[in-house]
Amino acid sequence: MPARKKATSKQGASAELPALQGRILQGEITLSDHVHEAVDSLRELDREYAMMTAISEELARSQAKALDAEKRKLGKDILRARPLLGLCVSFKDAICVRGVQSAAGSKALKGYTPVFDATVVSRLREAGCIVLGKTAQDEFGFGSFSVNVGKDFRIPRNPLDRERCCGGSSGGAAALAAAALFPHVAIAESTGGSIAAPAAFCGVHGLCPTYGLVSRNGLIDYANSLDKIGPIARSLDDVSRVLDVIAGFDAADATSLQRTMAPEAMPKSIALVKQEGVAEEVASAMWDAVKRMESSGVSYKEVSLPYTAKFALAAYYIIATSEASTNLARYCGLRYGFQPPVEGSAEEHFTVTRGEAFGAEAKRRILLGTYARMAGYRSAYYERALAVRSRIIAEYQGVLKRFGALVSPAMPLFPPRFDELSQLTPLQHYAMDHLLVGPNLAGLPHLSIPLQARLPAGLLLIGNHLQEKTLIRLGRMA
Amino acid sequence: MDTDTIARVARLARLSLTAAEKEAALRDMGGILDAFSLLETAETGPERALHPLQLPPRLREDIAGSSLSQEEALANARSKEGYIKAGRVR
Repeated sequence: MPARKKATSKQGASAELPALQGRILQGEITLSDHVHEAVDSLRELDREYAMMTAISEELARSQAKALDAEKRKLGKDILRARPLLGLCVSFKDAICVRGVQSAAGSKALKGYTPVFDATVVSRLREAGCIVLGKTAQDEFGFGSFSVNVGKDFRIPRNPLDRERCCGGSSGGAAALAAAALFPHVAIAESTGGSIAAPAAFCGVHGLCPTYGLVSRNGLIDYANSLDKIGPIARSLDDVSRVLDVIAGFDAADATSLQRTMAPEAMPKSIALVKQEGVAEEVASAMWDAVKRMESSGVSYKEVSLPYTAKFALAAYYIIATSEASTNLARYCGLRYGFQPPVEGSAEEHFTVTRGEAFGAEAKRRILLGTYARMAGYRSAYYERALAVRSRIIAEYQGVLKRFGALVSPAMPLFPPRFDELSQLTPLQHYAMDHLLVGPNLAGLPHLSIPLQARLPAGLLLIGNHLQEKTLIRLGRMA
Repeated sequence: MDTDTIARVARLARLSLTAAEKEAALRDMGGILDAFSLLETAETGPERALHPLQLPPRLREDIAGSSLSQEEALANARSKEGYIKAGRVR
Protein backbone atom coordinates (compact mmCIF):
# COMPACT_ATOMS: atom_id res chain seq x y z
CA MET A 1 0.00 0.00 0.00
CA PRO A 2 1.63 3.25 -1.06
CA ALA A 3 -0.05 5.76 1.24
CA ARG A 4 1.52 7.25 4.32
CA LYS A 5 0.18 5.31 7.28
CA LYS A 6 0.94 8.19 9.62
CA ALA A 7 0.97 11.90 8.95
CA THR A 8 4.41 13.28 8.19
CA SER A 9 5.93 15.31 11.01
CA LYS A 10 5.25 19.03 10.76
CA GLN A 11 8.91 19.79 10.14
CA GLY A 12 9.22 16.99 7.55
CA ALA A 13 6.20 18.07 5.53
CA SER A 14 7.24 21.74 5.58
CA ALA A 15 10.64 20.87 4.17
CA GLU A 16 9.37 18.74 1.28
CA LEU A 17 8.91 21.53 -1.26
CA PRO A 18 12.19 23.38 -0.53
CA ALA A 19 14.02 20.03 -0.72
CA LEU A 20 12.46 19.22 -4.09
CA GLN A 21 13.26 22.70 -5.41
CA GLY A 22 16.86 22.30 -4.22
CA ARG A 23 17.20 19.05 -6.16
CA ILE A 24 15.71 20.63 -9.27
CA LEU A 25 18.02 23.66 -9.08
CA GLN A 26 21.06 21.41 -8.49
CA GLY A 27 20.15 19.41 -11.58
CA GLU A 28 19.63 16.18 -9.63
CA ILE A 29 16.13 15.79 -11.04
CA THR A 30 14.15 17.40 -13.85
CA LEU A 31 10.56 18.51 -13.48
CA SER A 32 9.63 15.95 -16.12
CA ASP A 33 11.16 13.17 -13.99
CA HIS A 34 9.38 14.51 -10.93
CA VAL A 35 6.02 14.58 -12.70
CA HIS A 36 6.53 11.11 -14.13
CA GLU A 37 7.06 9.72 -10.62
CA ALA A 38 4.20 11.75 -9.13
CA VAL A 39 1.68 10.61 -11.75
CA ASP A 40 2.67 6.95 -11.33
CA SER A 41 2.31 7.27 -7.58
CA LEU A 42 -1.01 9.10 -7.94
CA ARG A 43 -2.46 6.35 -10.14
CA GLU A 44 -1.56 3.76 -7.52
CA LEU A 45 -3.11 5.84 -4.73
CA ASP A 46 -6.25 6.42 -6.77
CA ARG A 47 -6.71 2.69 -7.36
CA GLU A 48 -6.61 2.19 -3.60
CA TYR A 49 -8.59 5.21 -2.37
CA ALA A 50 -10.64 6.52 -5.34
CA MET A 51 -9.76 10.13 -4.54
CA MET A 52 -9.58 11.40 -8.13
CA THR A 53 -12.25 12.15 -10.72
CA ALA A 54 -9.65 12.94 -13.39
CA ILE A 55 -5.85 12.69 -13.64
CA SER A 56 -4.45 15.34 -15.99
CA GLU A 57 -1.28 13.52 -17.01
CA GLU A 58 -0.94 15.20 -20.39
CA LEU A 59 -1.32 18.68 -18.91
CA ALA A 60 1.13 17.91 -16.08
CA ARG A 61 3.73 16.57 -18.53
CA SER A 62 3.44 19.60 -20.82
CA GLN A 63 3.76 21.97 -17.85
CA ALA A 64 6.86 20.10 -16.63
CA LYS A 65 8.45 20.23 -20.07
CA ALA A 66 7.87 23.99 -20.32
CA LEU A 67 9.25 24.57 -16.82
CA ASP A 68 12.32 22.44 -17.57
CA ALA A 69 13.02 24.65 -20.59
CA GLU A 70 12.56 27.77 -18.50
CA LYS A 71 14.89 26.43 -15.81
CA ARG A 72 17.58 25.76 -18.40
CA LYS A 73 17.25 29.38 -19.50
CA LEU A 74 16.96 31.11 -16.12
CA GLY A 75 18.86 28.77 -13.83
CA LYS A 76 18.29 29.49 -10.15
CA ASP A 77 16.49 32.74 -10.98
CA ILE A 78 13.47 30.70 -11.98
CA LEU A 79 12.36 30.66 -8.32
CA ARG A 80 11.84 34.43 -8.41
CA ALA A 81 9.26 34.02 -11.16
CA ARG A 82 7.94 30.63 -10.01
CA PRO A 83 8.05 30.52 -6.20
CA LEU A 84 6.05 27.27 -6.03
CA LEU A 85 8.16 25.56 -8.70
CA GLY A 86 7.40 21.84 -8.83
CA LEU A 87 4.60 21.82 -6.25
CA CYS A 88 1.91 19.39 -7.40
CA VAL A 89 -1.61 20.68 -6.98
CA SER A 90 -5.01 19.07 -7.37
CA PHE A 91 -8.35 20.83 -7.67
CA LYS A 92 -11.71 19.85 -6.29
CA ASP A 93 -13.83 18.70 -9.21
CA ALA A 94 -15.98 21.86 -8.95
CA ILE A 95 -13.04 24.09 -9.94
CA CYS A 96 -12.66 24.56 -13.69
CA VAL A 97 -9.40 23.47 -15.30
CA ARG A 98 -9.10 24.13 -19.01
CA GLY A 99 -9.27 20.93 -21.05
CA VAL A 100 -9.78 18.66 -18.01
CA GLN A 101 -13.22 17.28 -17.14
CA SER A 102 -14.68 19.47 -14.39
CA ALA A 103 -17.97 17.96 -13.31
CA ALA A 104 -18.44 18.97 -9.64
CA GLY A 105 -18.88 15.25 -9.02
CA SER A 106 -22.16 15.20 -10.95
CA LYS A 107 -23.49 13.21 -13.87
CA ALA A 108 -25.11 16.51 -14.95
CA LEU A 109 -21.64 17.74 -15.94
CA LYS A 110 -20.04 14.46 -16.96
CA GLY A 111 -17.88 15.12 -20.00
CA TYR A 112 -17.78 18.90 -19.49
CA THR A 113 -14.30 20.20 -20.27
CA PRO A 114 -13.96 23.93 -19.56
CA VAL A 115 -12.46 26.23 -22.18
CA PHE A 116 -10.85 28.39 -19.46
CA ASP A 117 -8.97 28.06 -16.18
CA ALA A 118 -10.47 29.25 -12.89
CA THR A 119 -8.51 32.19 -11.47
CA VAL A 120 -6.98 30.00 -8.72
CA VAL A 121 -5.78 27.56 -11.36
CA SER A 122 -4.13 30.23 -13.50
CA ARG A 123 -2.49 31.85 -10.45
CA LEU A 124 -1.01 28.57 -9.26
CA ARG A 125 0.15 27.61 -12.75
CA GLU A 126 1.82 31.00 -13.04
CA ALA A 127 3.61 30.33 -9.73
CA GLY A 128 5.12 27.10 -11.10
CA CYS A 129 2.65 24.49 -9.79
CA ILE A 130 1.93 21.29 -11.67
CA VAL A 131 -1.76 20.41 -12.14
CA LEU A 132 -2.25 16.71 -11.38
CA GLY A 133 -6.01 16.49 -11.72
CA LYS A 134 -9.42 16.77 -10.11
CA THR A 135 -10.47 15.36 -6.76
CA ALA A 136 -13.61 13.52 -5.70
CA GLN A 137 -16.41 15.29 -3.86
CA ASP A 138 -20.05 15.08 -2.89
CA GLU A 139 -22.16 16.02 -5.90
CA PHE A 140 -22.00 19.84 -6.17
CA GLY A 141 -20.69 19.86 -2.57
CA PHE A 142 -23.92 18.43 -1.12
CA GLY A 143 -22.59 16.46 1.82
CA SER A 144 -20.34 16.19 4.85
CA PHE A 145 -18.81 12.77 4.21
CA SER A 146 -18.20 12.46 0.44
CA VAL A 147 -20.69 9.63 0.20
CA ASN A 148 -23.22 11.70 -1.79
CA VAL A 149 -21.18 11.45 -4.98
CA GLY A 150 -23.01 11.78 -8.28
CA LYS A 151 -24.28 8.86 -10.34
CA ASP A 152 -21.36 6.89 -11.87
CA PHE A 153 -18.79 8.50 -9.52
CA ARG A 154 -16.71 6.62 -6.92
CA ILE A 155 -16.78 7.27 -3.16
CA PRO A 156 -13.29 8.23 -1.90
CA ARG A 157 -11.84 6.24 1.00
CA ASN A 158 -9.90 7.52 3.96
CA PRO A 159 -6.16 6.75 3.52
CA LEU A 160 -5.82 6.20 7.26
CA ASP A 161 -8.59 3.59 7.30
CA ARG A 162 -10.31 2.48 4.08
CA GLU A 163 -13.50 1.55 5.91
CA ARG A 164 -13.98 5.12 7.09
CA CYS A 165 -15.15 8.17 5.16
CA CYS A 166 -12.89 11.09 4.20
CA GLY A 167 -15.30 13.77 5.34
CA GLY A 168 -16.81 16.13 2.83
CA SER A 169 -17.53 17.59 0.65
CA SER A 170 -13.88 18.00 -0.40
CA GLY A 171 -13.11 14.39 0.57
CA GLY A 172 -10.85 13.48 -2.34
CA ALA A 173 -8.80 16.64 -1.76
CA ALA A 174 -8.10 15.81 1.90
CA ALA A 175 -7.46 12.14 1.10
CA LEU A 176 -4.84 13.05 -1.48
CA ALA A 177 -3.28 15.66 0.81
CA ALA A 178 -2.90 12.95 3.46
CA ALA A 179 -1.67 10.20 1.17
CA ALA A 180 0.52 11.87 -1.47
CA LEU A 181 4.13 10.74 -1.44
CA PHE A 182 5.28 13.93 -3.18
CA PRO A 183 4.97 17.65 -2.31
CA HIS A 184 1.31 18.40 -2.92
CA VAL A 185 -1.41 20.85 -1.94
CA ALA A 186 -5.08 20.20 -2.64
CA ILE A 187 -7.26 23.14 -3.60
CA ALA A 188 -10.66 22.58 -2.07
CA GLU A 189 -13.87 24.55 -1.53
CA SER A 190 -16.11 25.14 1.46
CA THR A 191 -19.75 26.20 1.56
CA GLY A 192 -20.68 25.04 5.06
CA GLY A 193 -17.50 23.31 6.28
CA SER A 194 -16.22 21.35 3.29
CA ILE A 195 -12.56 22.23 3.86
CA ALA A 196 -12.29 21.86 7.65
CA ALA A 197 -14.38 18.66 7.89
CA PRO A 198 -12.36 16.51 5.47
CA ALA A 199 -9.08 18.00 6.71
CA ALA A 200 -10.02 16.93 10.24
CA PHE A 201 -11.07 13.43 9.15
CA CYS A 202 -7.91 12.85 7.10
CA GLY A 203 -5.47 14.31 9.66
CA VAL A 204 -4.24 17.26 7.58
CA HIS A 205 -4.45 21.07 7.67
CA GLY A 206 -7.32 22.85 5.94
CA LEU A 207 -7.81 26.60 5.68
CA CYS A 208 -11.09 28.14 4.62
CA PRO A 209 -10.32 31.80 3.97
CA THR A 210 -12.44 34.91 4.49
CA TYR A 211 -15.37 35.10 2.07
CA GLY A 212 -14.17 36.98 -1.00
CA LEU A 213 -10.44 36.74 -0.28
CA VAL A 214 -9.87 34.05 -2.94
CA SER A 215 -11.55 34.49 -6.31
CA ARG A 216 -14.52 32.24 -7.08
CA ASN A 217 -14.18 32.88 -10.80
CA GLY A 218 -14.29 29.45 -12.44
CA LEU A 219 -15.87 27.68 -9.48
CA ILE A 220 -18.99 25.66 -10.24
CA ASP A 221 -21.17 27.26 -7.58
CA TYR A 222 -23.07 25.55 -4.82
CA ALA A 223 -24.22 28.71 -2.96
CA ASN A 224 -22.74 32.03 -4.07
CA SER A 225 -22.95 33.84 -0.75
CA LEU A 226 -21.18 31.01 1.06
CA ASP A 227 -18.62 29.43 -1.31
CA LYS A 228 -14.89 29.89 -0.54
CA ILE A 229 -11.85 28.26 -2.13
CA GLY A 230 -8.90 27.28 0.10
CA PRO A 231 -5.94 24.90 0.51
CA ILE A 232 -5.62 21.54 2.26
CA ALA A 233 -2.05 20.41 2.95
CA ARG A 234 0.16 18.34 5.23
CA SER A 235 1.99 21.41 6.58
CA LEU A 236 1.00 24.92 7.60
CA ASP A 237 3.94 26.23 5.58
CA ASP A 238 2.37 24.78 2.43
CA VAL A 239 -1.03 26.22 3.40
CA SER A 240 0.59 29.63 3.82
CA ARG A 241 2.64 29.45 0.62
CA VAL A 242 -0.36 28.60 -1.49
CA LEU A 243 -2.66 31.11 0.22
CA ASP A 244 -0.18 33.89 -0.60
CA VAL A 245 -0.51 33.03 -4.28
CA ILE A 246 -4.27 32.52 -4.57
CA ALA A 247 -5.48 35.37 -2.30
CA GLY A 248 -6.17 38.76 -3.78
CA PHE A 249 -8.61 40.84 -5.77
CA ASP A 250 -9.96 39.52 -9.05
CA ALA A 251 -12.09 41.73 -11.27
CA ALA A 252 -13.71 38.60 -12.73
CA ASP A 253 -15.45 37.85 -9.40
CA ALA A 254 -18.09 40.40 -8.41
CA THR A 255 -17.71 39.46 -4.73
CA SER A 256 -13.90 39.59 -4.67
CA LEU A 257 -12.59 41.71 -1.78
CA GLN A 258 -10.47 44.74 -2.57
CA ARG A 259 -8.66 44.31 0.75
CA THR A 260 -5.60 42.29 1.72
CA MET A 261 -4.92 39.91 4.61
CA ALA A 262 -4.03 41.48 7.95
CA PRO A 263 -0.44 40.98 9.10
CA GLU A 264 0.27 38.10 11.47
CA ALA A 265 -0.42 38.94 15.11
CA MET A 266 0.01 37.10 18.38
CA PRO A 267 -3.32 36.92 20.22
CA LYS A 268 -3.09 37.17 23.99
CA SER A 269 -6.31 35.28 24.54
CA ILE A 270 -8.65 32.94 22.71
CA ALA A 271 -12.24 31.90 23.35
CA LEU A 272 -13.05 28.24 23.77
CA VAL A 273 -16.58 27.77 22.46
CA LYS A 274 -18.71 25.51 24.64
CA GLN A 275 -20.20 22.81 22.42
CA GLU A 276 -22.55 19.95 23.04
CA GLY A 277 -22.42 16.53 21.45
CA VAL A 278 -18.64 16.23 21.12
CA ALA A 279 -17.11 12.75 21.58
CA GLU A 280 -15.06 12.47 24.75
CA GLU A 281 -11.80 11.53 23.01
CA VAL A 282 -12.11 14.43 20.57
CA ALA A 283 -12.82 16.88 23.40
CA SER A 284 -9.85 15.54 25.36
CA ALA A 285 -7.48 15.95 22.39
CA MET A 286 -8.78 19.48 21.89
CA TRP A 287 -8.05 20.34 25.53
CA ASP A 288 -4.49 19.05 25.11
CA ALA A 289 -4.02 21.43 22.17
CA VAL A 290 -5.51 24.34 24.11
CA LYS A 291 -3.09 23.64 26.96
CA ARG A 292 -0.19 23.67 24.50
CA MET A 293 -1.29 27.09 23.28
CA GLU A 294 -1.62 28.23 26.88
CA SER A 295 1.94 27.13 27.59
CA SER A 296 3.00 29.33 24.66
CA GLY A 297 1.46 32.36 26.35
CA VAL A 298 -2.10 32.36 24.98
CA SER A 299 -4.72 32.42 27.72
CA TYR A 300 -8.21 31.06 27.14
CA LYS A 301 -11.71 31.53 28.44
CA GLU A 302 -14.80 29.46 27.80
CA VAL A 303 -17.63 31.29 26.02
CA SER A 304 -21.06 30.46 24.64
CA LEU A 305 -22.62 31.45 21.33
CA PRO A 306 -26.22 30.59 22.24
CA TYR A 307 -27.93 32.16 19.22
CA THR A 308 -25.53 30.55 16.75
CA ALA A 309 -25.74 27.18 18.51
CA LYS A 310 -29.53 27.22 18.29
CA PHE A 311 -30.21 28.65 14.84
CA ALA A 312 -27.11 28.39 12.61
CA LEU A 313 -27.79 24.91 11.24
CA ALA A 314 -31.33 25.73 10.11
CA ALA A 315 -30.33 29.13 8.70
CA TYR A 316 -27.41 27.60 6.84
CA TYR A 317 -29.43 24.85 5.18
CA ILE A 318 -32.23 27.19 4.15
CA ILE A 319 -29.84 29.73 2.60
CA ALA A 320 -27.56 27.14 1.02
CA THR A 321 -30.34 25.08 -0.55
CA SER A 322 -32.17 28.21 -1.72
CA GLU A 323 -29.08 29.43 -3.54
CA ALA A 324 -28.28 25.93 -4.81
CA SER A 325 -31.74 25.49 -6.28
CA THR A 326 -31.25 28.59 -8.43
CA ASN A 327 -27.65 27.74 -9.36
CA LEU A 328 -28.58 24.26 -10.50
CA ALA A 329 -31.37 25.59 -12.73
CA ARG A 330 -28.75 26.05 -15.46
CA TYR A 331 -28.22 22.30 -15.89
CA CYS A 332 -30.79 21.54 -18.53
CA GLY A 333 -28.84 19.25 -20.84
CA LEU A 334 -28.39 21.62 -23.76
CA ARG A 335 -25.17 23.58 -23.44
CA TYR A 336 -22.76 21.24 -21.65
CA GLY A 337 -22.45 18.04 -19.67
CA PHE A 338 -25.09 15.29 -19.75
CA GLN A 339 -27.17 15.73 -22.91
CA PRO A 340 -29.49 12.75 -23.41
CA PRO A 341 -31.53 12.57 -26.64
CA VAL A 342 -34.93 13.63 -25.28
CA GLU A 343 -37.87 14.46 -27.50
CA GLY A 344 -40.87 16.53 -26.48
CA SER A 345 -41.43 20.08 -25.28
CA ALA A 346 -38.58 22.12 -23.85
CA GLU A 347 -40.09 21.66 -20.39
CA GLU A 348 -40.22 17.89 -20.82
CA HIS A 349 -36.63 17.90 -22.05
CA PHE A 350 -35.38 19.84 -19.01
CA THR A 351 -37.44 17.85 -16.51
CA VAL A 352 -36.45 14.41 -17.78
CA THR A 353 -32.79 15.35 -18.24
CA ARG A 354 -32.48 16.78 -14.73
CA GLY A 355 -34.32 13.81 -13.24
CA GLU A 356 -31.80 11.45 -14.83
CA ALA A 357 -28.75 13.60 -14.09
CA PHE A 358 -29.05 14.46 -10.41
CA GLY A 359 -28.47 12.10 -7.49
CA ALA A 360 -30.75 11.71 -4.47
CA GLU A 361 -29.18 14.39 -2.27
CA ALA A 362 -29.01 16.92 -5.11
CA LYS A 363 -32.72 16.40 -5.76
CA ARG A 364 -33.49 16.74 -2.06
CA ARG A 365 -31.63 20.06 -1.84
CA ILE A 366 -33.19 21.41 -5.03
CA LEU A 367 -36.64 20.58 -3.66
CA LEU A 368 -35.87 22.12 -0.25
CA GLY A 369 -34.44 25.28 -1.77
CA THR A 370 -37.28 25.67 -4.25
CA TYR A 371 -39.81 25.23 -1.45
CA ALA A 372 -38.03 27.77 0.79
CA ARG A 373 -38.23 30.40 -1.97
CA MET A 374 -41.80 29.70 -3.11
CA ALA A 375 -44.48 32.34 -2.81
CA GLY A 376 -46.14 31.85 0.55
CA TYR A 377 -43.10 30.29 2.20
CA ARG A 378 -40.30 32.69 1.23
CA SER A 379 -40.69 35.05 4.18
CA ALA A 380 -41.00 32.18 6.68
CA TYR A 381 -37.88 30.40 5.48
CA TYR A 382 -35.47 32.19 3.13
CA GLU A 383 -35.92 35.79 4.30
CA ARG A 384 -36.05 34.73 7.92
CA ALA A 385 -32.81 32.76 7.50
CA LEU A 386 -31.11 35.88 6.12
CA ALA A 387 -32.26 37.86 9.16
CA VAL A 388 -30.98 35.13 11.47
CA ARG A 389 -27.67 35.18 9.62
CA SER A 390 -27.31 38.90 10.43
CA ARG A 391 -27.67 38.14 14.12
CA ILE A 392 -25.22 35.25 13.92
CA ILE A 393 -22.61 37.52 12.31
CA ALA A 394 -23.17 40.05 15.09
CA GLU A 395 -22.76 37.37 17.76
CA TYR A 396 -19.41 36.29 16.33
CA GLN A 397 -18.24 39.89 16.01
CA GLY A 398 -19.12 40.53 19.64
CA VAL A 399 -16.87 37.69 20.82
CA LEU A 400 -14.09 38.49 18.35
CA LYS A 401 -13.86 42.03 19.76
CA ARG A 402 -12.66 40.48 23.01
CA PHE A 403 -10.61 37.51 21.78
CA GLY A 404 -8.04 36.91 19.08
CA ALA A 405 -9.71 33.71 17.89
CA LEU A 406 -12.36 31.13 18.73
CA VAL A 407 -11.53 27.48 19.28
CA SER A 408 -13.60 24.29 19.10
CA PRO A 409 -13.30 20.83 17.57
CA ALA A 410 -13.79 20.87 13.78
CA MET A 411 -16.01 17.78 13.81
CA PRO A 412 -17.68 16.31 16.89
CA LEU A 413 -16.46 12.77 16.26
CA PHE A 414 -13.84 10.63 14.55
CA PRO A 415 -14.42 9.79 10.88
CA PRO A 416 -17.43 7.45 10.80
CA ARG A 417 -17.31 4.07 9.10
CA PHE A 418 -19.37 3.71 5.94
CA ASP A 419 -21.70 1.22 7.63
CA GLU A 420 -22.37 3.76 10.40
CA LEU A 421 -23.16 6.52 7.91
CA SER A 422 -25.68 4.38 6.08
CA GLN A 423 -27.81 4.30 9.25
CA LEU A 424 -28.23 8.09 9.43
CA THR A 425 -31.24 10.02 8.16
CA PRO A 426 -30.66 13.11 5.96
CA LEU A 427 -31.37 15.36 8.94
CA GLN A 428 -28.81 13.50 11.06
CA HIS A 429 -26.28 13.96 8.26
CA TYR A 430 -26.97 17.70 8.24
CA ALA A 431 -26.61 17.91 12.02
CA MET A 432 -22.99 16.71 11.81
CA ASP A 433 -22.10 20.16 10.42
CA HIS A 434 -23.19 22.02 13.55
CA LEU A 435 -19.67 23.13 14.56
CA LEU A 436 -18.81 24.47 11.10
CA VAL A 437 -21.85 26.19 9.64
CA GLY A 438 -21.54 29.22 11.96
CA PRO A 439 -18.19 30.54 10.69
CA ASN A 440 -19.24 29.74 7.13
CA LEU A 441 -22.45 31.78 7.46
CA ALA A 442 -20.38 34.66 8.86
CA GLY A 443 -17.67 34.36 6.18
CA LEU A 444 -15.01 34.02 8.87
CA PRO A 445 -11.65 32.37 8.10
CA HIS A 446 -11.18 29.07 9.87
CA LEU A 447 -8.37 26.56 10.05
CA SER A 448 -8.49 22.88 11.00
CA ILE A 449 -5.31 21.56 12.64
CA PRO A 450 -4.75 17.82 13.17
CA LEU A 451 -5.25 16.77 16.78
CA GLN A 452 -3.17 14.10 18.46
CA ALA A 453 -5.69 11.34 19.01
CA ARG A 454 -6.38 7.66 18.34
CA LEU A 455 -8.06 8.50 15.04
CA PRO A 456 -7.99 11.68 12.92
CA ALA A 457 -9.70 14.74 14.39
CA GLY A 458 -9.26 18.47 13.98
CA LEU A 459 -8.93 21.56 16.13
CA LEU A 460 -10.90 24.44 14.63
CA LEU A 461 -9.47 27.96 14.91
CA ILE A 462 -11.83 30.74 13.83
CA GLY A 463 -10.59 34.30 13.31
CA ASN A 464 -12.04 37.62 12.31
CA HIS A 465 -12.21 38.57 8.65
CA LEU A 466 -8.78 38.64 6.95
CA GLN A 467 -6.96 37.21 10.02
CA GLU A 468 -5.70 34.10 8.19
CA LYS A 469 -2.05 34.74 9.08
CA THR A 470 -2.85 34.95 12.78
CA LEU A 471 -4.76 31.66 12.60
CA ILE A 472 -1.75 30.01 10.97
CA ARG A 473 0.49 31.33 13.74
CA LEU A 474 -1.87 30.00 16.40
CA GLY A 475 -2.03 26.71 14.56
CA ARG A 476 1.73 26.29 14.88
CA MET A 477 1.33 26.44 18.67
CA ALA A 478 -1.38 23.79 18.79
CA MET B 1 -45.99 18.44 3.49
CA ASP B 2 -48.14 16.35 1.17
CA THR B 3 -47.87 14.65 -2.21
CA ASP B 4 -49.48 17.60 -4.05
CA THR B 5 -46.92 20.02 -2.60
CA ILE B 6 -44.05 17.71 -3.53
CA ALA B 7 -45.41 17.47 -7.07
CA ARG B 8 -45.79 21.26 -7.30
CA VAL B 9 -42.26 21.91 -6.04
CA ALA B 10 -40.81 19.29 -8.41
CA ARG B 11 -42.69 20.87 -11.32
CA LEU B 12 -41.35 24.32 -10.45
CA ALA B 13 -37.82 22.87 -10.21
CA ARG B 14 -38.18 21.01 -13.54
CA LEU B 15 -37.32 17.76 -11.82
CA SER B 16 -38.79 14.37 -12.66
CA LEU B 17 -39.07 12.05 -9.66
CA THR B 18 -39.65 8.31 -9.55
CA ALA B 19 -42.35 6.92 -7.27
CA ALA B 20 -39.68 5.93 -4.72
CA GLU B 21 -38.15 9.41 -4.85
CA LYS B 22 -41.55 11.02 -4.27
CA GLU B 23 -42.08 8.81 -1.25
CA ALA B 24 -38.62 9.63 0.12
CA ALA B 25 -39.15 13.36 -0.48
CA LEU B 26 -42.46 13.26 1.38
CA ARG B 27 -40.84 11.50 4.33
CA ASP B 28 -37.59 13.49 4.51
CA MET B 29 -38.74 16.99 3.65
CA GLY B 30 -41.47 16.99 6.25
CA GLY B 31 -38.98 16.12 8.99
CA ILE B 32 -36.35 18.57 7.78
CA LEU B 33 -38.78 21.48 7.44
CA ASP B 34 -40.29 20.71 10.84
CA ALA B 35 -36.81 20.92 12.36
CA PHE B 36 -35.99 24.13 10.49
CA SER B 37 -39.27 25.78 11.53
CA LEU B 38 -37.26 26.52 14.68
CA LEU B 39 -36.32 29.73 12.84
CA GLU B 40 -39.82 31.06 13.56
CA THR B 41 -38.80 31.42 17.21
CA ALA B 42 -35.62 33.41 16.51
CA GLU B 43 -35.48 37.04 17.49
CA THR B 44 -34.29 39.08 14.53
CA GLY B 45 -33.78 42.68 13.50
CA PRO B 46 -34.46 44.43 10.20
CA GLU B 47 -31.11 43.45 8.60
CA ARG B 48 -30.98 40.71 5.96
CA ALA B 49 -27.44 39.40 5.38
CA LEU B 50 -27.39 38.47 1.69
CA HIS B 51 -23.61 38.18 2.06
CA PRO B 52 -21.41 37.66 5.11
CA LEU B 53 -19.57 40.93 4.53
CA GLN B 54 -20.79 44.33 3.42
CA LEU B 55 -19.84 44.31 -0.24
CA PRO B 56 -20.18 47.61 -2.09
CA PRO B 57 -21.90 47.19 -5.46
CA ARG B 58 -19.19 47.03 -8.07
CA LEU B 59 -19.89 47.63 -11.73
CA ARG B 60 -17.27 47.49 -14.43
CA GLU B 61 -16.90 50.28 -16.90
CA ASP B 62 -19.30 50.02 -19.82
CA ILE B 63 -16.62 49.08 -22.31
CA ALA B 64 -16.74 45.97 -24.48
CA GLY B 65 -14.21 43.39 -23.32
CA SER B 66 -13.10 40.01 -24.60
CA SER B 67 -15.39 37.02 -24.27
CA LEU B 68 -15.58 33.43 -25.43
CA SER B 69 -15.69 32.90 -29.18
CA GLN B 70 -18.77 31.19 -30.61
CA GLU B 71 -16.68 28.07 -31.16
CA GLU B 72 -15.54 28.05 -27.51
CA ALA B 73 -19.04 28.73 -26.20
CA LEU B 74 -20.40 25.78 -28.17
CA ALA B 75 -17.46 23.47 -27.48
CA ASN B 76 -19.40 21.40 -24.94
CA ALA B 77 -22.78 21.44 -26.68
CA ARG B 78 -24.24 19.30 -29.44
CA SER B 79 -24.27 21.97 -32.12
CA LYS B 80 -24.83 22.43 -35.80
CA GLU B 81 -23.78 25.39 -37.94
CA GLY B 82 -23.13 27.59 -34.93
CA TYR B 83 -26.36 26.76 -33.09
CA ILE B 84 -27.13 24.46 -30.16
CA LYS B 85 -28.92 21.38 -31.46
CA ALA B 86 -31.91 20.45 -29.27
CA GLY B 87 -34.13 17.38 -29.39
CA ARG B 88 -37.13 17.16 -31.68
CA VAL B 89 -40.07 19.20 -30.35
CA ARG B 90 -43.38 17.36 -30.51
